[in-house]
Amino acid sequence: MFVMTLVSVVSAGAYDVLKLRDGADCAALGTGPAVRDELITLAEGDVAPSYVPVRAAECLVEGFAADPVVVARAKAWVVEGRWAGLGILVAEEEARFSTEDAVAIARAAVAGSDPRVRERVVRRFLKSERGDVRSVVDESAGGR
Amino acid sequence: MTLLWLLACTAPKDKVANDPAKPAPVVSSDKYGATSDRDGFLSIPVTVDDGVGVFQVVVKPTGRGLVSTEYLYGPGETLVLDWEDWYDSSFSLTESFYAADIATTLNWPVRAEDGPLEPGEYTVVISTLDARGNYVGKSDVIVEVLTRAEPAPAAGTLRTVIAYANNVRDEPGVVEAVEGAVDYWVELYAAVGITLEPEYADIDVDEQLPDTYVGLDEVAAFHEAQDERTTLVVVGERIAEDRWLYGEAGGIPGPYTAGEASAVFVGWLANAGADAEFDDADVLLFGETLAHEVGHYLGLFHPVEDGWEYWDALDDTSDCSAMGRCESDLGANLMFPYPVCTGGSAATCLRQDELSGGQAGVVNRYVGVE
Ligand SMILES: [Zn+2]
Repeated sequence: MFVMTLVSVVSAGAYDVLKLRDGADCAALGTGPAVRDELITLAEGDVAPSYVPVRAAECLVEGFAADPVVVARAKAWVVEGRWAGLGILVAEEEARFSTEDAVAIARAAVAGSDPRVRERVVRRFLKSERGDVRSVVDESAGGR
Repeated sequence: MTLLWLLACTAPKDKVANDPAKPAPVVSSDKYGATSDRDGFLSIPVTVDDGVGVFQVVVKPTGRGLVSTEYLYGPGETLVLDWEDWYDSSFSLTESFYAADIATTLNWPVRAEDGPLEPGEYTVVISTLDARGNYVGKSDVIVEVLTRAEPAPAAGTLRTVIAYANNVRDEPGVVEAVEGAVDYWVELYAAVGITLEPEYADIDVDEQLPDTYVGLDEVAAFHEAQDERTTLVVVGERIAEDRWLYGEAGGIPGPYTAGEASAVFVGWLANAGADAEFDDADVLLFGETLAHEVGHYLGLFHPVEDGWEYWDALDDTSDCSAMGRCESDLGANLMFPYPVCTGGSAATCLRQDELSGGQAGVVNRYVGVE
């Protein structure tokens, strides 16, 4: 079937877990750089159904928040319109990142050039329980 | 086990009368507190009068324990349903056999061959258990018994409230997408004779929703405040549990009674995709997800589970056993476990707008399709 064609290009294992309509268990995907890279490909690629990229990002945030590669992707997601949903997810789940990384991601969000993405993401960082993170976006929210 | 022995512990107590000020519902109900016997069993009588087509029994523990449905006896003490026939089966009829901490819900009959009901006294036997599944006696529960007349074919109505969690209405494009998705859901259910009557509301809960099986007190309170029974869909931003991100039904079937888990939770964010914007194809997929998740709530299982080793109990859905065959046989079925997509955009996903006659029968037999 065509799905098999699609997943052979993208990633058979992770796609088949994430495509299920009712939900997915990130733990079923395993760990390691190969899984991480597969999830990044799914999160940032043109993949249907539309929830697969969001779920892939969710699993990255859940399982790989300490990985510098994922932190770098998160900084991109919080500023780019095509990844605004992933950016919203990162901001909602900022507690999974170290304070240092969360502050860096929040700084990236504040510096983003797309005001629509910035507003949606910054608003969510404002809910952080960590003062260091909040202060980054507080300044932004107050200063704009 | 004899029925006499079972009936020894059926006497309802603390009976709660229906509010006479409210309009007479098509569904009639009885609610009372009861206590399981010392072995952890409780027999619940269900009186089936002439014209009653379906019943639903919902039992909730009042403490920390679990409940599950074990047997159903029909008039004349005939054993109609035995949990041991289904518990380890490759075919799924109802989730009520699996111990739950919020409620066990039996909607009967499920399939055409399970009915019709005969006038007389039915008895549903439930068990009260601890968290490890050991029987626990003398456990308090709340019992609700609902009955409904058999509707004329294609005449059932399902009232549904779509309730937005906090802040969701403020998200650009989300309300429009939800309403478009619901319009499509109305069409999907009309095809099986159900008139979906959607209403929109707000519910004061955080937009990061918990797992449906955890439930929310606000969901129970929302139901209690309604004039009529309804099914409830809560639209949040995400289901913020590690396992469930997208949409999830509150049980197969879900209770047509007030309770913390008497709802289907969906998150808008995953449905909108990576860009957080709904295009037309996303809206259709979202509509199918609403129809699919509420389909679970009305009693439908996937015709085949991913893995191709478990099936629903219906004989008119394929018992395929390999991915290619299952996608070919069932890829357009609303209850298939995933959308079958041929490319990188939602527009390439097969429409899943089909339900078999057996599946249509199951949803029309849900007590809340009035
Ligand atoms: Zn499902």
